[in-house]
Amino acid sequence: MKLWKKGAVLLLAAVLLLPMWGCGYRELYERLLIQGIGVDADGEEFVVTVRSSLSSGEKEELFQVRGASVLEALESLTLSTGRKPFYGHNYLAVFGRECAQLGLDRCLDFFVRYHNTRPSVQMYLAEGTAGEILGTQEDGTYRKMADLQQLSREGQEAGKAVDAEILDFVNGVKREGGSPVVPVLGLRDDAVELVGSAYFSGYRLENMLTPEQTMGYLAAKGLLEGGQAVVGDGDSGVATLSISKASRNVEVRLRDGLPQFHLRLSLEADLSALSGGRNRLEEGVYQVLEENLSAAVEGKIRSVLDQALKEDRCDVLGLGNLLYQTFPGYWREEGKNWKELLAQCETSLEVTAKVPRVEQEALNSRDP
Amino acid sequence: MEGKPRIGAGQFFISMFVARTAVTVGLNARYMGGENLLDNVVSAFLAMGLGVVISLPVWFYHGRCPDKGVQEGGKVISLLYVLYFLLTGAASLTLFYVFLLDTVNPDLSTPLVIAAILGVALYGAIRGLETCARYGTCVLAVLLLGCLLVFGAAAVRFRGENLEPLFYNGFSQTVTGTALLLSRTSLFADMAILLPMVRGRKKAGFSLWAAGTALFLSLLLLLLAGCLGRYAYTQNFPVYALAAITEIRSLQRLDAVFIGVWMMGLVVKLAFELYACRVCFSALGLGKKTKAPTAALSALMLGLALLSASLTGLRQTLLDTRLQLCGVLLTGCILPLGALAVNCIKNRRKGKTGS
Repeated sequence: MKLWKKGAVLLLAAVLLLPMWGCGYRELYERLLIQGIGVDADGEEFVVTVRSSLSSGEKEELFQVRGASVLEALESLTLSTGRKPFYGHNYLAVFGRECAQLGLDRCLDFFVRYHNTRPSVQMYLAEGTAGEILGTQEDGTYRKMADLQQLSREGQEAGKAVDAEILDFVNGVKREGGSPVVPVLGLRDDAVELVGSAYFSGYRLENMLTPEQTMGYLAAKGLLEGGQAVVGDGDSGVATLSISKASRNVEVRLRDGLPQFHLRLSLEADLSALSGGRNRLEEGVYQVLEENLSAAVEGKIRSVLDQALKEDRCDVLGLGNLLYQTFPGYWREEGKNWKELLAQCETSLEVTAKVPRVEQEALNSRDP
Repeated sequence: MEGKPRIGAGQFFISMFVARTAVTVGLNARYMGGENLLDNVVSAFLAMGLGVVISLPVWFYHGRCPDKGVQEGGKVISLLYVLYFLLTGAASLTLFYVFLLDTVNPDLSTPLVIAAILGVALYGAIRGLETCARYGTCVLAVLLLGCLLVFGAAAVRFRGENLEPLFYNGFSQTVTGTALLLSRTSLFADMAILLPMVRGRKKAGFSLWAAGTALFLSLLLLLLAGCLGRYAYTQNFPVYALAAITEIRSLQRLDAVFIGVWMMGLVVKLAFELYACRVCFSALGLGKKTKAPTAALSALMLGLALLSASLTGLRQTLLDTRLQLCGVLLTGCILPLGALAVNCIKNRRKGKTGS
C-alpha cells in the first residue's frame, strides 16, 4: 500500500475514533441505578416509589415521585437527584392494590415498551400500597431488591406462591380467555412477606387466593414443584408430607355443545415428620396418608375452581386456551362467550398420591 | 477489476447463510403478517421451496455460461443490479438503524455505528471476494456459538400454552411471511453475479443453504412463539427480546450477543453486495477502476439509510415487502431468464451462420 494511502487510512481511523471516546457520556456515578419500581395510583396521577443503589453498591436509596405517567414520574427524579435513571438493572415491579383495581393497562406499558426495561422483571401486587412495600426497613436498612425478587421464586418452590414476570402477565392477559396471576406482597409485623396470589380479569384486579389456595392453583396448573402438606394419619396423629413430584394432565372434550375438562394430577410425597413419637407406621396408614393427601390437594384445587372459575369467572388455569388449542373451530364460534361458558363447564378432578414406603421397609429389615 | 478471483462453494454459501441470518433477526410479527408466529414456520419451508424455483433461471444460465455472470448480458442489466444492491443494502442498514433507535439506546451515536459497519463492509469489498468469504466463514463460527447460547438458554422458557393452532386466521399470515422471507433474500442476485467466481459443489452448497436457512428460521420462529407467546407481538424486535430474557445463572441479558451477531452478519451481507456492485461496475466498462464508484455507492447507501430515519415515506418504501419482493424476482429470476433467452438466441444465430 502506498504511503499516502496508509496515511489516509490512519487519519480516517482516527476520525472515526474521535466521537467514540465517550467523554460526552454519563459516568456511572451520574446514573441512578434503579433496582425496584413501585407504582401506586392517586386519582389521575401515579405515585412512583423507586429503590436505587449507588454505583459503589454500598447503600440503597428510596425516592418517591409523582407524575401523570410512570415514565414522567421516573424522569422527574433527575430534578431531585441530578442523576439520570437507568432501568437496565431493575429487578422488580410492584403495583399497588388500588392501581391494580383501576386497571394496570394505565401503567404497565412502560415496562413493556420502553427501551432498557426487560420483560423478565419480577412482578408483584402489593396488598396495600407499593410504596410501603419498597419503603419498609428491617433493622434500619432497606431489604435488598434481589432478595425480594427471589421471594416469589422460592415461594413457588415451596408451593405457596406464584412466580410471575412482566412477560407472564402480558401473555396471561393476551392469551385466549386467560386471567393472569401474580404474587401478593404484604406487611406482617413490619416485615414484607408473600401473603397469597392475585388474579386479574384482563388488566383489572379481580380477587385474591390464600397461600393454601395458591398451592391448589399451582397443582392444577402443573407448576407445583414442592411444598408441605400436613394430613391426618387416620388415627389421632398427623403426618407432614413433603411433596417431591407432581405431574398434571388436562383433557378437554366437547359434549352436548359444552366443553368438559378432566384434570388428572399425580403426586409423590415423602414422609417428613410424624406426631406422637412413633418411629414407624403400619402399611395401612400409608394408604390413609395417600388418600388424605389426595383429598387435601383436591380440596385446594376445588376451592380455586369454585372461587376463581365459577364465582369470578376468571380462567386462571388457562382452560380457555386449551380449548382454543384443541378445538379452534369451536373457539371461533363460542370463544367470545367464554366467561359465561366457563361457569357452565364441568371440570372433573382425579388426584392420586403416592408416599414411598422406603422408611418402613428400612425399619422392617432391622426387626429381628 | 483484477483477475477473476475464486472462492469455494462452501465459503460462498456459508457467507450467504450468515447474510440471510442478519436480515432474519430483524423480523417481527407485524412484518410477518400476524400474531401467530407458528404459521410462519410453514412460511420458512414455503420460502425455501419457492427460493429453489426462483433460482432456476440463474442455474440454467450458469449451466450454459459457467464463466459469465448475468451482468454481462448488457449495461442496463448491470445498472439494474447496482440499483438493487443499493436499495437492499440501504434497507438492511435502515432496519438496523431503526433497531438501534427504537430498542437499544437512542442516546447512542447511531449514524456513526451505521457508518462504521458500512466502512468495514466497503473495506472488505475493496480487499476482494476472498477476504469477504474468509470473514463470512469466521462469522459463522461466532453466529453458531451465539445462537447455541441464546437458543439453549431460551429453550428453558418454552411453554406449550404459548403455541397457537396453525392457520387459525387462515393462510394470509403464511403467505405474507413467505413473501417477507423471500423479499429479504439477496442470495439470488448475488448468485447471478458471483456464481462464476465460485468453484466446487455449488448445487450441494445451495441445497444446504436452503435447508439450513429454513431450519434456522423455523427453529427461531418456534422459540419466539413458545418462549415469548403473544408478548412477541408487542415488540418491534422480538428476537432481541428473546435474547434479553435469556440468562444462564449470573450471565444475564444475552442481548449483547444478539447485537454483535446482527452487526457482523450485516457486514458480511453488505460486503458481498458491494463486491457484486464492483463486478457490475466492471461490466459497465469501468474495467479495473471500480473502487472509487463502489465507495461512492456505499456513501449513497449510507445517505439513504440515514435519510430514512427521518423520512417516514422513504423508510416505508425501503422496507416495503412488495417492492423488495419485486426486486428479488427481477434480479433473481427475470433478468437471468432474459439473459438466458438472449444467450439462446445468440447461440442459435451463431449456429445458423456457422451452418
